[in-house]
Amino acid sequence: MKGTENRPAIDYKKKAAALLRRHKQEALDRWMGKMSLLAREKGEEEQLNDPILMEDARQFSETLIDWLEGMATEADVASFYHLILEGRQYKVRMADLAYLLLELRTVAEEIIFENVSGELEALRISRILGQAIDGVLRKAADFYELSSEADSQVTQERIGEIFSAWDLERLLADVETPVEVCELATKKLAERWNLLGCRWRFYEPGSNTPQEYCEGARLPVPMIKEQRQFLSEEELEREGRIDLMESVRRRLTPYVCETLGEDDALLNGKTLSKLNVESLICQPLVARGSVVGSLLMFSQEAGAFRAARTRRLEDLAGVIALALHRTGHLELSHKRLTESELIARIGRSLLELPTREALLEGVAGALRDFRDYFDVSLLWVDREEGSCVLVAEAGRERSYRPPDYRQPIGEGFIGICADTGATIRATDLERDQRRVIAFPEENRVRTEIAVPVKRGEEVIGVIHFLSDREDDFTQSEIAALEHVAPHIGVALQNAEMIDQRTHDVYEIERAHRQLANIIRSTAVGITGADARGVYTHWSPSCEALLGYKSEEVVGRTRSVDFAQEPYALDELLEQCLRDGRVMRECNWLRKDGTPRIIRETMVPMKEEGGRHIGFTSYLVDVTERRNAQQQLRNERDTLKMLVEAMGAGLALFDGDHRLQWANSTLMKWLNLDETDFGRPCHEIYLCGRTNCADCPAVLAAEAGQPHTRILEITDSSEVWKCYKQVFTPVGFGETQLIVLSFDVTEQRRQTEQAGLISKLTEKVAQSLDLERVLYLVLTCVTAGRAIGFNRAAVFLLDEEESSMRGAMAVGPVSAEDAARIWGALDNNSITIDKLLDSAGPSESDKKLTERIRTVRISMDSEDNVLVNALRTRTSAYVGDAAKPGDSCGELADTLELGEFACVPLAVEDHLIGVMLADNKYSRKTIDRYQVELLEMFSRQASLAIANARAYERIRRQFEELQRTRDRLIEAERMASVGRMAGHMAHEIRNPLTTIGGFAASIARRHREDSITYRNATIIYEEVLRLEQTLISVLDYTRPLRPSKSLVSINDVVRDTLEQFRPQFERAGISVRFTPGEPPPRIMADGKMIKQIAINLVKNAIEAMETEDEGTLSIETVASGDHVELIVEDTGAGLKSEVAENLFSPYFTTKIGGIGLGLSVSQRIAREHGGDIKAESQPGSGTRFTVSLEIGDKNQEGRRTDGKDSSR
Amino acid sequence: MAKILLVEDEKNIRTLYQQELEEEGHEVLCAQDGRTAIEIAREHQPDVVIMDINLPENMDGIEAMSKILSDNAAIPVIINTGYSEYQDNFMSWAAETYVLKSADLGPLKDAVRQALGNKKGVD
Repeated sequence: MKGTENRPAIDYKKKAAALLRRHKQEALDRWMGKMSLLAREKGEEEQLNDPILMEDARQFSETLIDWLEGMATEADVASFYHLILEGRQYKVRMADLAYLLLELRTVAEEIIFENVSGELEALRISRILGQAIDGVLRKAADFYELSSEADSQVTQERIGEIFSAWDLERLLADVETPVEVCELATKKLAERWNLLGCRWRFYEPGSNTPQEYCEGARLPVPMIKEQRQFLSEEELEREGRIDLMESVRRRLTPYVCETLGEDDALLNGKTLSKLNVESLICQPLVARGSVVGSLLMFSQEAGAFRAARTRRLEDLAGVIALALHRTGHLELSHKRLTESELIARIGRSLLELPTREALLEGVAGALRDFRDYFDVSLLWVDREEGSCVLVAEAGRERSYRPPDYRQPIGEGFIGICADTGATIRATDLERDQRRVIAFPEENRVRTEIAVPVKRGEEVIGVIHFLSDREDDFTQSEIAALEHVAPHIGVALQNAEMIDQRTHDVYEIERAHRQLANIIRSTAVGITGADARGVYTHWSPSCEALLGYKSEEVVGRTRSVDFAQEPYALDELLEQCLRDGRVMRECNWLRKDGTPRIIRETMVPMKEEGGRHIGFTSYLVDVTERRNAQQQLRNERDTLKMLVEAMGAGLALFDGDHRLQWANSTLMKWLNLDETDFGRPCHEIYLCGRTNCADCPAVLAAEAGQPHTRILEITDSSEVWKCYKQVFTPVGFGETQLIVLSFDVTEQRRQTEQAGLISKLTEKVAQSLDLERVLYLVLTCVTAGRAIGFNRAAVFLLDEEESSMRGAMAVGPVSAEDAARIWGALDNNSITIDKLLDSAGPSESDKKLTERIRTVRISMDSEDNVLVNALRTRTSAYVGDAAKPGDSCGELADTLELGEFACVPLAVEDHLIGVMLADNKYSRKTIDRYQVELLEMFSRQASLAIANARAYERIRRQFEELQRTRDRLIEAERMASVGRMAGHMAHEIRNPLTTIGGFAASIARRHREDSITYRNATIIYEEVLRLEQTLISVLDYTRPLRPSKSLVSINDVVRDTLEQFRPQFERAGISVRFTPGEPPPRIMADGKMIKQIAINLVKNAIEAMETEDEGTLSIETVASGDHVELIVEDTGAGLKSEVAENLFSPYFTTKIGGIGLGLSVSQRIAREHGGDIKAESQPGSGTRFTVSLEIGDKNQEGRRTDGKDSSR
Repeated sequence: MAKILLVEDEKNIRTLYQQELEEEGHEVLCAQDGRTAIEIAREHQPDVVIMDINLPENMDGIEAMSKILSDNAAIPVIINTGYSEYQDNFMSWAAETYVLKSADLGPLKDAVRQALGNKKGVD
């Protein structure tokens, strides 16, 4: 047995076995009865009195049951052989045994069909049984053959008959239609009895309309194809003819004609004699107690059907009848399937079409499509006008009839059908007088039928089918169409009624749904119960549904025997009374124990007076449907999972662009719920449109062109999303749209970020100005609603790295400000490029910057988030700065910080500062993307800031260098002037010496009052002055070679002051000398130190010359290893540029001075391990401080100093 | 009354010094270059030498002085030059003193007087 059939077969085997076991005694009794009959027939009654044989038979019966239960093993088979051997011992012949078995099978079948309610199920069980017995018989036959039992000719013939019956049965087991049964049976029978042919007449289950079939290899074709006109009994009687097949069927006895003469009484006798038929036999076909038809076999051989030859023909007839019965049912269920297919189609059109016209057209269309008919018309019968009115038409190519087409009642197929209420099928249209040709194309039609639509007995409409195929519309097709017709009638009526009344689409749909349900329910069980719920009525269909007979149920309390779980009957009845209807699905058990899902619709029953007398329930078995639905649901779930697993959003829009359905992914993305169904596309996707009619995506899709677009939306929580959407048209009648959405936010975000970064890099590359760089970075961080922050600020670490200070901020300063700025951004009046190209910070940026510049964060504040972020060089996120625990210091207040993110700015080991950003105004939660963005920009920013700073530093250094270089050039220039002056000094000294010397000589030789003396003296003095100038020049250019000895600074000062006394007096300068105590002594060149003193005092005098009076204060102080000489005047003080160049050589503010004094003094001080500093306030004098190293006193005299050593 | 050797290449200065020193009552021998000075010094054994540093004929005053002193170390040599930068070195050159050229001949006359007074009495 094949795997796929395995389970149900075992199931049926068990059922069959259980059935037989239950009815074992009964089976045995019946079987024994048949055996007695057989024995009596053969005069072998003594066997019946053999108790051993009977016991064997009983055992055999049990063995059979076991066998059926699928327990057949070799051992069982052996015991079977044993039984047969035993039988032999008791002279049971093979033929008898076979017959015994066959009878047993008949008995078993009887029992099965009596006890199994479902016909199909019974058939299946019986088939299982047949297979089992077949197997047993085969074993037995093999056994007998081996034992080579020599039996009589008769016995052999009988065995042959029996085996041919089995053969036939096996052959017929696989046949599916009655016609095939006839074909095959004819072939087998013809072989056996050398028949010319067979004529079959059989009835569809539950029908009285016969079908006839003629078959025979040598029969002429017309006879086979002949369409029989069946005459009624009266007609037959009137014509004095006998319908042999019908009479045989009625009488249930075979008719045999050994030699056929001119018997006109036999219908078709003439035809038969023309065919040289010599003998015939007509056999009723009976299966399971009911007549399924009759069989006429005819032969050209006389005496072909002798009793001896046809003794077991009944057996064969039984087998054939059973096959006909089975296939009849099979075909019926096939037809039902066809019907339900049609009904389903119509039901679908009913459900889908909102208006009456559309509905009717839909119905007509569905009917036309059912078998691709040429034309289908629906017509109403208008009795008042006496005509049929066309209401809908569906032609294959178009509607052929005029819209107001009418056909009088009684005329044409339509009219006649409306009149008689009977279906008309016309195949010979050329000659059919009844035909009315309504339109030219109708000439193509070869077959037509008119099916009445009835309400009760009244014909309310006609469905007219035209086919361009010859001999179209089979019996089953017509039956299906007839079956559907009343439903269509009801549907049309309902549609019309509802259409007229409300035009409410919803109502129509609901009605249609109900209707469809009614149409779909093929078997409705009806029960009645009294007011307490005790069954009063149980329809036969209920029995079919649940297996209980009426007498088993009526009088008992409702449902208690069926329900798998107990339920509160009272509540159910109450609910039914209250609501006027209860609809529920129950898990009930059939009598045989199989679970069924029954849908019960219960309504209260009322008398005419309105008194409540009970309940009526309609029971429908929805098990298969539920299973099918479950399967469908599973499939749908799988599909759904597949759709969900795609990670795409899927939505279906109707012709009005309204949402029909969306998958859960999309619902989640767009935050949709059930209430959004029915809303237009633009409201679902928030694409910014106000209608969908001119939406490019919709237009393209409606034109049959899939369209792809990018949708960017910012949802209610300010989260920016980007979807790629594909609009695809789907045609289900009207154009619908499937919209597939992919979330590409991440990609877009990355693209945008990359764009921003590249823009920033580009812009930053153009600027090395720190302010500008900061502005660019912050603008990028706050750019756009897509990824930007509301505000951002940079804090920079100062050079000492001791604290961070607010450097710059970008963003609105208030909510109003924010609204204004974003308004501009939304209108696209400001783009990021514009912002980046703009001159710089906006007014609000400046205000915000001003605010943060007041902020100073000490790097010592260890708890500070910003400080930590920079120190650990990790990003920080603060949920609420106002909350204690996250210390942000004064910053939290300055910026009114709530939630913010903060990233460090650093390049390699060099810390720069932090960047901080928040969404103060949009209040959007900072997500990981924003922090990533910030981090990315922080890297850029760090580099840019570091570059800008480095540039700034270099620029400053460069400027310093430039200044130094200028000074050096100046100094060099002056130095070369000095060298030249030195050279010139020598060159002019000799002539000066001569000039002055001779002048002095001249003067000496004249009287002092002579002009010559005076003039020569003037020359002499002027030469001396020149010589002095030369000396100062030469002094500076001459390298210093200090000759150090222990020098008392106080003494040097005193000597100097003494020397300048006349000048002091002349300039009115009072002198205050504060000598250091103990007197500071240093190792120094006394002359040089004195030179310093002279220079400073000279300077002081010159500074105070223009004053009326002045004070020169001199002080000497020992300080550590240095001695300080402080010279302070009360003069005009120094201008800053003067102060700067004070010690530069040849710098002088004095007219006539050559500016070497202070420069020489500085050189001397430095030579003595010290320096000179000048402090001056313009208007309040100058203070020179000369510091000189005390020096190692042991060094005294070390130096080769000729002067000293000579002393 | 002393014998002074004046070594000076510049004629005007030579004239000026000669006049001034002769006025002081000294006998003034003049030399225009170092070699002449050395010869005169050998020949006349002056009491004091006034020596300029910048001299022609490839022999400056320092070299000339050292030759003169090597002949007779007792002769005081007064360096008389326009270069103040050599002042620190005159001792090492064994010069008596170092006087800057000036219109004021006082320091030079003082130096001569002092040299004559200090003159080592070798002879």
